[in-house]
Amino acid sequence: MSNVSDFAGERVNRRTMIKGAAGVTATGAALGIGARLNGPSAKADDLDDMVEAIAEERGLTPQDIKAALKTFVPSGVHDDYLIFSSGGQSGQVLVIGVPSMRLLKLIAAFAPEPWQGFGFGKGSQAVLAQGAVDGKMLTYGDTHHPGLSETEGQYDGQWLFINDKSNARIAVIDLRDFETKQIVKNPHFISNHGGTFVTPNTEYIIDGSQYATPHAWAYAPLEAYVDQYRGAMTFWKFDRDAGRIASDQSFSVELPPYWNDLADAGKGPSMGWMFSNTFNTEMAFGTGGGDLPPVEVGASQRDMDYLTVINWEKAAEVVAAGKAQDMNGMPMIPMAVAVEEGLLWLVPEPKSPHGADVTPDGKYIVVAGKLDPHVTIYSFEKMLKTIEDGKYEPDQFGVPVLDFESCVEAQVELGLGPLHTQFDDKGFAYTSLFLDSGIARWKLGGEGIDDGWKLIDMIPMQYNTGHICAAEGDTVSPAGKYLIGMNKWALDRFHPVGPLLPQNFQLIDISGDAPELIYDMPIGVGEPHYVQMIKSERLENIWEVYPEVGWDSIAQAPSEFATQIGEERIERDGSDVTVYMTSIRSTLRPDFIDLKIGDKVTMHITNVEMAMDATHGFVMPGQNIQLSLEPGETESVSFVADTAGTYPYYCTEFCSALHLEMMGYMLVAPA
Amino acid sequence: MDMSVANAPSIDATPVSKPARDWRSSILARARSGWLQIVLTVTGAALLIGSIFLPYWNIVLRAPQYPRGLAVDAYVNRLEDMRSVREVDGLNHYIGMIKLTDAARIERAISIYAIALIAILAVVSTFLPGWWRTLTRLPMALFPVVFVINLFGWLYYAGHSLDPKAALSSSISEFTPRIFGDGVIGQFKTEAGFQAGFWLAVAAMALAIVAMALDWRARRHVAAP
Repeated sequence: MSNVSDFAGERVNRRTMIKGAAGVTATGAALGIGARLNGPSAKADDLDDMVEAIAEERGLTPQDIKAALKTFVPSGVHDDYLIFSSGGQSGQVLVIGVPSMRLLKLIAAFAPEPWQGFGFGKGSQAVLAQGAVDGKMLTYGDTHHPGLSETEGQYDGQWLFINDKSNARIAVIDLRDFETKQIVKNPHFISNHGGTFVTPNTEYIIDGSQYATPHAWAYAPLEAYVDQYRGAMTFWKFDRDAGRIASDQSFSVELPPYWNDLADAGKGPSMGWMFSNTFNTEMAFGTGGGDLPPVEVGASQRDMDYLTVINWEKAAEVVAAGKAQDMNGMPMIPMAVAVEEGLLWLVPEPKSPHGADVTPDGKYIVVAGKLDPHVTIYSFEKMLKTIEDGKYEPDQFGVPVLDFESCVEAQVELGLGPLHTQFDDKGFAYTSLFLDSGIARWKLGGEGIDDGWKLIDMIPMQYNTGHICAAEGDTVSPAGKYLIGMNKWALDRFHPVGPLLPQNFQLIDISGDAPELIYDMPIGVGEPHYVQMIKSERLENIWEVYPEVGWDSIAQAPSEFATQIGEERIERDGSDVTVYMTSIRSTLRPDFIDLKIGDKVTMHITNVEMAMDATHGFVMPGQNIQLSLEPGETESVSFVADTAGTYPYYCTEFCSALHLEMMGYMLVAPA
Repeated sequence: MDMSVANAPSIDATPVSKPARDWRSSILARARSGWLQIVLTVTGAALLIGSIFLPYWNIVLRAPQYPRGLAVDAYVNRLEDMRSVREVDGLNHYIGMIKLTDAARIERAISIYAIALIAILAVVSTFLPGWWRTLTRLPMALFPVVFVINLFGWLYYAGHSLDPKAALSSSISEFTPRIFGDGVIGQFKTEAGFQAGFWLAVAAMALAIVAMALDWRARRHVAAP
């Protein structure tokens, strides 16, 4: 095993460094800088001198300069890849360019976000309200795993899904305008770690329960854990035409009260199936207030847990045949029915596993050991053979457990704490090693590959690597090129910012023979989990402005409240006041709203601009209103003018030279 | 394989002696018989009708914050594209300029009928005698000139009727936007010029003038044999 890129290491002495820096100029030439250097070598010498001078001044090693050249994206040039990153507790999605690692945008999903006006206008408030629990508005989300929509197993750049683990919710983001359009709340379980994983044509979005609970948010004492607590796997139907999850066509499969972790959809030969690793088959629930061990001990007793295997195509047929039961408004296939129909299977897997990742060819499922230094590779073909041969025994809930040896293709010892696996275009797999703080690079095996299933090397990371992401590394055709490690701890990597440290995304170039660490990006808004990296050229449907003036961005259709220039008005019906307003550089019309205390006000504001980037904001002081009106957008707000006063409202997005003048007065006269 | 040599026509050794033709008299003869004039006039009318579908004039405004530029194409009856037009109008309101959509409203409204009438008159001219013939071709010969004068008039008016209460009225003085070539308005660089529709109308004008000249020559020849 070789340490391929120990950046944390040496700061070479100046002389060595400068020599090396001159060598790096050659790298610059290879990257295209040299195109302009074909003339006299004097120019090359000038470049060498320049590089040396900068390197000396800034204390850069040749490796540093190489990394800089590989990641620098000049002004006005766009990145080749984008990553969509979970924003962790921020309830957002982060959009970041690769290789520059420039943060392009935060997309609000589960939490109000003032810049985008998300959660302040009626449209986005309605979206947030869809995710309310028992009428309580939730204003955060524990976002974990983004899932880009796929066509034939490859990202199609149209939709993005992300889960909120803590309340088992899923948000649907439209990649035409990068806005959240829908939130669904799982009616069957409370926490979903195993979302969101899409099937190869986005037929379904897979959503697996984490902590077992009685279904449908019901009560049951911990003593009833085995009898009444259950897991489930939900298959949300995605209606592409509507751009929404269709709850009425979605369903769940009831599972034993084990805890589901991460999942992946089968593809190619395993199309129609899905795989989710499962832990806590011990069914520990903590002390329960008594002498039982805490979960971390109780759930780590058995040497084997299970890989849950579900034939979702068959499950959909079973639901269509009316064999599922309604539970809380959505069908659930009872465990006994799932077993009888042969659509639910378990396969033993080593101790408290993490990550279940299907290889690009769909033939194998890689499960990382977490508490076991191996990855275990299952052959889907062997699984089917094992089922056919009848080599299984039921677990205590009657779910058939396949014979371990008959399903395993290989086991590869990688290091300590293996978690998540991604793939590249050259037949390598990459698995994060949480405890070893690194990423193992290993070779896939199988038919026609002699030296497969073998560890190649370990890329050191800083520090505690969780998920990793290779470019399109969970699709049928990984792009290779880049790998990102999402490190839970940053420790000394960045300037201190107090006891709450940023996360550290580390970018690795995997295009050459030896992986090279080329960038550290601090993430200071939450603790991201999973990330997906897509070629930016696949995102071809992005709107520059909304399609027409007066656009309802939630419905993605013309708004009934669209107001054109000249149509601005204030309508009064008793104490109900409706304002139809336009915004254009640099005027809000009307610029005077005359109210009496107690008036119930609804405002419909249309940004009548069609120029790219001509966004206007809108604030109403004292009313917690901050909107973002992108070109063409119509947004509505309601409030009660309950306090007499003089309220200047204005545009909050610096739009023009006369931006500060873009305001109006709302007067609320006392009774 | 090169077939061209094999297929090349053989040179006939026998000299062909054609009677020398006086091209001038030939053309005049045709003009006298009228059909060349008819071809020229009808072609001109067709070109003028075709010009309706092409922009006559265009202006592109460029500024740092509009790297793609704002391009407005002026057709005889409309402005395109409307997003650029709205944007330009939005910007122009800062200096108190009239809206592009408010300029030449009447001209744009009647232009199609006017061009149709001009074309019909030109076609009809071929059936008319004497000076009526010239008179009915004259509109086609004058149309581009009228267009340029009208355009210049509106540009002059737009730059000389700025609203004195506009936000930036104190920072700009009266001006006439360039009808042709490069100009500067505020942070915008403008490039203006005539476009295909205008040049079609000019071609129609040229054909009309030639037809009128032929007609005039022909009548003179007939009148003074």
